Amino acid sequence: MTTTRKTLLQRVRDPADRDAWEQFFELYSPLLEGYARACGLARADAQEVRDQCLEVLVRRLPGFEYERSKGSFQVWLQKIARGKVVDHLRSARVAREETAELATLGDAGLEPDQHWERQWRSEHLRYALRDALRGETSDAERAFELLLLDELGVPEVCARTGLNANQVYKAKARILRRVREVLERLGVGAEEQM
Amino acid sequence: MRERCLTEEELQGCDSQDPSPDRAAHLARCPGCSERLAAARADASLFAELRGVAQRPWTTPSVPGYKIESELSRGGQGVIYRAVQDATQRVVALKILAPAASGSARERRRFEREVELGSRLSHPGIVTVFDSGVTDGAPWYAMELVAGETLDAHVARTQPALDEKLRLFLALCAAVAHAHRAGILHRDLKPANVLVDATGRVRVLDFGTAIDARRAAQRRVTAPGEFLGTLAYAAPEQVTLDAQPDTRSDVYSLGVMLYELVTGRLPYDVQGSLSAVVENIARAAPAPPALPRRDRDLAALLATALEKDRERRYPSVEALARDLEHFLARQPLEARRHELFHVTRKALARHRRAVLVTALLLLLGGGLIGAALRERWRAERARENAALVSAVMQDLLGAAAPQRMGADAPLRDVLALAAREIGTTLEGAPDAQAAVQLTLGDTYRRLLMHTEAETHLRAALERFRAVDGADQLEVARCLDLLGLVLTHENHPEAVLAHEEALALRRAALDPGDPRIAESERGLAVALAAQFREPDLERARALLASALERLLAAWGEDHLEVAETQVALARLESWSDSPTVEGLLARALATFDRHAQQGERGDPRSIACLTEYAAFLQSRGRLDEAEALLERAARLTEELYGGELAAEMLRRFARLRMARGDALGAEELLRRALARELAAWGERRPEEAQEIGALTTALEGAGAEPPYAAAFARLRRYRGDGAFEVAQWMNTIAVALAAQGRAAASEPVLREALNIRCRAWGSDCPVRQRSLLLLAGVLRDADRKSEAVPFVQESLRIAEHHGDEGPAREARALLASCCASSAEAP
Repeated sequence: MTTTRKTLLQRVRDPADRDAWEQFFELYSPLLEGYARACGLARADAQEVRDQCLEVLVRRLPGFEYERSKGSFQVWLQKIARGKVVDHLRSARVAREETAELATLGDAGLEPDQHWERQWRSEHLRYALRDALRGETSDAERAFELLLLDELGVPEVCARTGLNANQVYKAKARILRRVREVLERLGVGAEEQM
Repeated sequence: MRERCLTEEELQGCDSQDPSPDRAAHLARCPGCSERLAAARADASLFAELRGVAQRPWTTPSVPGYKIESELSRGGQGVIYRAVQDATQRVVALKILAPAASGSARERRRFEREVELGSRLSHPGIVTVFDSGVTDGAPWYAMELVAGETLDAHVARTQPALDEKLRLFLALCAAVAHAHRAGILHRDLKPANVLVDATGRVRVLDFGTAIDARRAAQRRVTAPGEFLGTLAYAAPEQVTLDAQPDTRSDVYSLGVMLYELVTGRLPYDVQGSLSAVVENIARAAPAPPALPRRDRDLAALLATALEKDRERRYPSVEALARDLEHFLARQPLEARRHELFHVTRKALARHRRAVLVTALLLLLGGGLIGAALRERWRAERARENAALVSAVMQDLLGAAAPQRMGADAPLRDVLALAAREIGTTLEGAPDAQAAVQLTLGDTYRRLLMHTEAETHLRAALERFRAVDGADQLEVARCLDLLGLVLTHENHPEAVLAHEEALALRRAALDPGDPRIAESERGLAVALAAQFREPDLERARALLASALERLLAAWGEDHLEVAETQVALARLESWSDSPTVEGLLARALATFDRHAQQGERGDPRSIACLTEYAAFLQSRGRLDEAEALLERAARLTEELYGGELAAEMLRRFARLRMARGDALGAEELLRRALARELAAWGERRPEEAQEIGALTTALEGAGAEPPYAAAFARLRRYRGDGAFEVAQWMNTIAVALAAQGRAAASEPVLREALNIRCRAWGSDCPVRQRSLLLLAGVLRDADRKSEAVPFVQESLRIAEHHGDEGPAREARALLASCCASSAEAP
């Protein structure tokens, strides 16, 4: 099995795989922090929780064996995050009033678990997109951005980038294919929520 | 006409709306196109999902209110432009978060924090943030534009004299200290983050950039190129992730920068593998800076700033700056005053607990802040302070692991140092001296250094007695501890010490007070060690009373109760009382419940587990025994770390023998010996020799086995009738017999039997077991007629005590002896 075919989770078992760890942090930091915020923690506390979780990951992932019976990595990580949030709330119990006040600062209206599910996917998508764009020319990247975010039609994109329609379609297909590949490496099905 | 396949554009059209009839017809006929359509639809779905989550990337550097003139620098995080603020015509540096970075919540947060911190700090040495905002989804901020060069570039170009360098550094310290006062850590101080402008003014950049230094360290580990330049300045706690960085982490980074300023190089090697670099930062002592004699103070200052243990570092940037000013004014430094201590500290760097104790004791009387405190001690007679110090010491030393610390020479040195200090520094405060000496004695006791423990406890006792109105309860505690030590040494005075403690506690305390039980238990154990029938009776009564008292005070679910149950069970097991298993099971249940609640098991539960295991083993329930022994071993390891203690290995060895695995037992005994030698080699050479000789005996087909001499020495050391002596003899004899060396085994067993007989009288159940062992060996050696009287005697004792199990065993053995001897001519 070549390195590129390995999932990120398999790769981070090797503490020396720096690139994998870098990607790993980039991907999971916002997720963990967002979860802690959704649990009602203030920003600084959420960051603390995030760091504690990352520390657990640094320690435990090298020996992490995927066991179906124990549930997926997603579930495992959520357990860790939940545990750390609970620890945090417990330790802050003395400062109860403050906690109550800070709780209102969390992402409003979202149950933490829903948040987790939703964010899990969107963070992976976002990460995959960033990764997929990395190897692209600036024109192709720009064309994709115009399609995706400015919601422009192909002719307009051609006009702005100087690419022809075929190049734009090719770029789009190529980037999407790469997004799929990245998602697969992350162990997230591309079509999971279709 | 051949049908035309759909173009990309037409396919894209089909995925959002129903295809026109002719296209639909083509799609139905052309597998290629319908496959492409399916793929396009999947793409469209993924595309839509991405649209939902992707954040608008930054595209054009256009910020309202500013005219961007040129790009100054471009980094992973963002681009810095030179810009002019429309309203004020002020030239600023405009930093805009890069598109890739603005997609990441972490980068955004980091950027926001930079803005927040930059606007909170207003100091001539810190780059000011004027303005900030978000344009097209990309956050930006405007800050003071400093025309200057980085500190290292400046120093390399201008080659300033030492004092000039130090003044630059002091300006840097002032800026960092200002931020610290505002509650802000820099966490990524390095020459590249310090600018010196044309007028020589120092400016610190990038506050909060390394918002999370621990993660930053991880990140750096992922990108060696970018990281080495930065990691070189990180504090040990930042790279080892041992603790959250605090102001002292910035002190350390400043220390590295100062070292580099002064010497032109870094304090340690940051070349090589990342793990080696991290290791160096965490542990390598800074290379002594080559400085002229008159600048020697600077070396002390650097050493204090670069302490690996931040407790020993300058506590604040101000303290560092102050000393630097002292140095510039050629005045004595704080750091110099620490130096003597510093040397001791270096030697003890690995022994943090010991260092803390030393620090504490030096604090009591030494040259640091001790004088004032000592005055107070004298003035107030400071009983509470003594209690406090004593409590702190107990806390520090409480986790001292005897097995691990046994050979810990530095710890012993520190304790010896502490002992010396008591005499001088606490002079005039005998109650304080007594309290500290009591703690010291208790520490030695837990380290199994009984001679020293005894000395200190006796001295503490003497001092308590010299003080009018000494706290009688402390005296009692001292006596109890002394009693425990003496019991261990098989000293008859143990009983007296516990008796007195018990009397004092009974007089001073309410009859229901559980502390009385502590003395009762101590006395009972001391009495039991005498192995005389009336003493055993009294011990049993005392333990029963202690148990009752504890149960009344705390109920069943208490560790003290469990501990007492174990002591009682041990006593009862000698008479094979049917209550033994119940007591042990209840105690174990209590320990287990508490272990579930707390994080770790209680050290006292080890005794419970081993006692229970021994009981089960004696009942032939070997699997259960082994399970408990394994638990005991695991817990021992968990609590004390390192290899299994010799004691535990010997227990496993006995179990192996019971399973008939003599070679396995021998191997374990050998390990026990090695362990014992390693731990006690220096301290108790005699005993180590003894055990060495015993174990060698197992090997030897030597004509003159060295048992006799070895046992003689062991007895001299342990006293006649020592439990361990007979125990060891039996263990070894059984191992020898199991290896078919009955001839070697027999004399050992006879000797063990004699010891037991002398010690515990002829009717003791322990003797019964010895008799049975000897008989078994004789039978196996085909000397059945000689075995018979021993079995008969054994049976008599078992029946006398009504012990059915051992009696059955004896009858079976008797039957086998008689049967075969009947067959013999």
